[in-house]
Amino acid sequence: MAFTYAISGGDWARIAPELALLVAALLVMLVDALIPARLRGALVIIGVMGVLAALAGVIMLYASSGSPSAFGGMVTSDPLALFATLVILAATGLSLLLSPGYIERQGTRQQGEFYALVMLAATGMVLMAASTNLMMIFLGLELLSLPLYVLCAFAPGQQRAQESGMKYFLLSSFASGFLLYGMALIYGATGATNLGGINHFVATHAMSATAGFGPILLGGMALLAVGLAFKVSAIPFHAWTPDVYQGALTPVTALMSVGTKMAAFVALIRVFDVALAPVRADWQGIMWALAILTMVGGNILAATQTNVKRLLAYSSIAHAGYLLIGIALGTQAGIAALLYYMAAYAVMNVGAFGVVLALERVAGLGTNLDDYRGLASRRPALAAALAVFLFALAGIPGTAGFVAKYAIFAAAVTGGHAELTIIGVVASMIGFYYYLRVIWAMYFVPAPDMPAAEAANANPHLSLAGLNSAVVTKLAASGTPLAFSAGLALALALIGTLGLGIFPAPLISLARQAAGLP
Amino acid sequence: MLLSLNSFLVLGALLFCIGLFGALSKRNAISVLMGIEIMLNAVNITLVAFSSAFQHSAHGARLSGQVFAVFIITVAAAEAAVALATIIAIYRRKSSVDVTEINMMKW
Amino acid sequence: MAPFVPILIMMGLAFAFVVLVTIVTFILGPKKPTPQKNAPYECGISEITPPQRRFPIKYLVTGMLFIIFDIEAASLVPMAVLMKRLGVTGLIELVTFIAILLVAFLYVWRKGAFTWE
Repeated sequence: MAFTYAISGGDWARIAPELALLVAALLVMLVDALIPARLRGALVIIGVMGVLAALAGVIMLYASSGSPSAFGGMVTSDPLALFATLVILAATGLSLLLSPGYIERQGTRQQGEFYALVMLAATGMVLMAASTNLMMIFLGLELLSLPLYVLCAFAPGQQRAQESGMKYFLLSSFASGFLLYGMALIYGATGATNLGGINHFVATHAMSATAGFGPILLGGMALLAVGLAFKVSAIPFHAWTPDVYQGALTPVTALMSVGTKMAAFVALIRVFDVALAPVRADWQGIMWALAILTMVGGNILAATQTNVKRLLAYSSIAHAGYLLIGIALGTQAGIAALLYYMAAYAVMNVGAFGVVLALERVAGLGTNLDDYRGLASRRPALAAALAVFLFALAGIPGTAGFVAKYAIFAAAVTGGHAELTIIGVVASMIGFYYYLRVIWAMYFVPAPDMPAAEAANANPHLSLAGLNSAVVTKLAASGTPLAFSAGLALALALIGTLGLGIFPAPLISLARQAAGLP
Repeated sequence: MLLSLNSFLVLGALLFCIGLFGALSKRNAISVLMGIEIMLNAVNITLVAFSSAFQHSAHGARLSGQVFAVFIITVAAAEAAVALATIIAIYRRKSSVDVTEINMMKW
Repeated sequence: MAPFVPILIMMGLAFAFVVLVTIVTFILGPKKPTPQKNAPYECGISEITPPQRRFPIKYLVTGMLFIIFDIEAASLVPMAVLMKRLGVTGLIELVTFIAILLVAFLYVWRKGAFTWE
């Protein structure tokens, strides 16, 4: 067979968002190497401009016609990829805006590195969502994971952060091993790594579970499912999530809770719901069980938490469970609901982490539920914002979370899996309990009467953390003023949460288009 | 064909299990890392074995496995570098690389 | 199986060599232990920290950077094999790849990672 190589400028235009993010990351690194240290905080501007340029690229690609596939079927810019890119860009942009002020407060002096790594992780997420080849899915996954390993361990001298980075690395690369072995077996069974080829092979060959390529394909599917379930933190592969989310810097947690999930869910859609659709009967049970375990388990475990950051980590596991319903259904309506859910989750979850970040002091202090007591009287605006985000996460009508939950549960009923809806609704009831517990603490429990300075001195964690008196004094001033950019990010997230709840139609039609529905 | 495809697949599977066992049973972070690297290399063997078995198929089917293996080698090196840096950062602080001692956060 | 017999013989020889050398040095090496020789140096206070303590290596960063930049060469091999057929587009892609690496190189250089103590 003759070797043909036909890559043109058109192919490069198809990955415009990835290119914009990558160029922004490289620019951050170059400029960081040249400017004096005190100006490094301003590098966030380059990052935000990169996100905006990528957004322009997405709009350009939405408007363009012609085959979305590029680089010989390696990547695509179909509506699914573009929708996922939008969600990832929203999460990246908001996380970038939340960072200035906060990362300096945590003792970071290498802001350039931080922003460059965030941009590289975003590039990986977008690339993974655009991949139509197992190889590219793996490369995208690693391009998003490697910067996140570093970002998790980023806070200098904070043991929790290092522990978070270490755990994330060990468990995530462990999962990568399973994922890769699954990919290798699928390649061996079907003779293809591009998803179109896999789909063609599976559709044209009858599979037997005991003979021929059957056992290899089944093994590959199982291992791939395990690997991706790790990445979306589905129970029972969730053990890393709370520790990593709690220990990492909060903007990083916000980014990875949304961006990684979005990218991994698109990979799940492309591999299972599209490429392996002909053998749905063989994998649907796994996804069904994962969805139920994750919904119920995530909500029950979250209900016992006393640290708000950790609570949000478990809540993110629970939400992965609702999202898995969309995968388990395997219908286009399910995929459309999943995508809308993910977009809603992006704004409300980043918003919730944004408020946590605004209240957090150095070394993870100030994130316990007790620290939120009486917040409504101390910081009324922040308390109100957090209340809105938590109501949205719980799924109260009028917020994006309600529309999202309604869409996914409705899709489950029409898809013939009413039992998933029933279990999902019951699990959400447990969810109400712990979200409302935070709101209760903020509004109806009086603040501790100890003056802030005494409270800080009496706190046994301080001596453990080995902080000097200057830091304690800083801690005593419990209200760090909100940075302008963080305020902007919270306002945007608030608008998104309420806007998507009250006017969901445009985004729903976009999600339906991405799922291939009219 | 000197050895059948199955021999290489069994070798890959055994190596994967050895790596898995190492990653799960070792307490030293470096040993865990080595276990993970062995798992990745087991995948490489499997990929190249399949690629060799597809030698009479179309171009794409044959080369995909080999290219995939090259990518895995590259990524594994980058992972190792990041991991070593993290392990050193933890060692400087705790004078230990025992993964069972990395336990500030629980439940 | 026949073509692998030389490899098996080679492995056997390598193993036998290691065992042989270990045994021979153990037998031939002079051993005159005295209590003084076995005791800790001079004063006899047992060690406070384990004697085989690891010490920081100065070239750690250099080593890690070497791993990364070195292994990128593996990505270049397939491209080099096909360079003629890839043509100008392939060359541009190769240059882009190197340019990205160069940015990383400039960054670590400016950050002083190559400064030798």
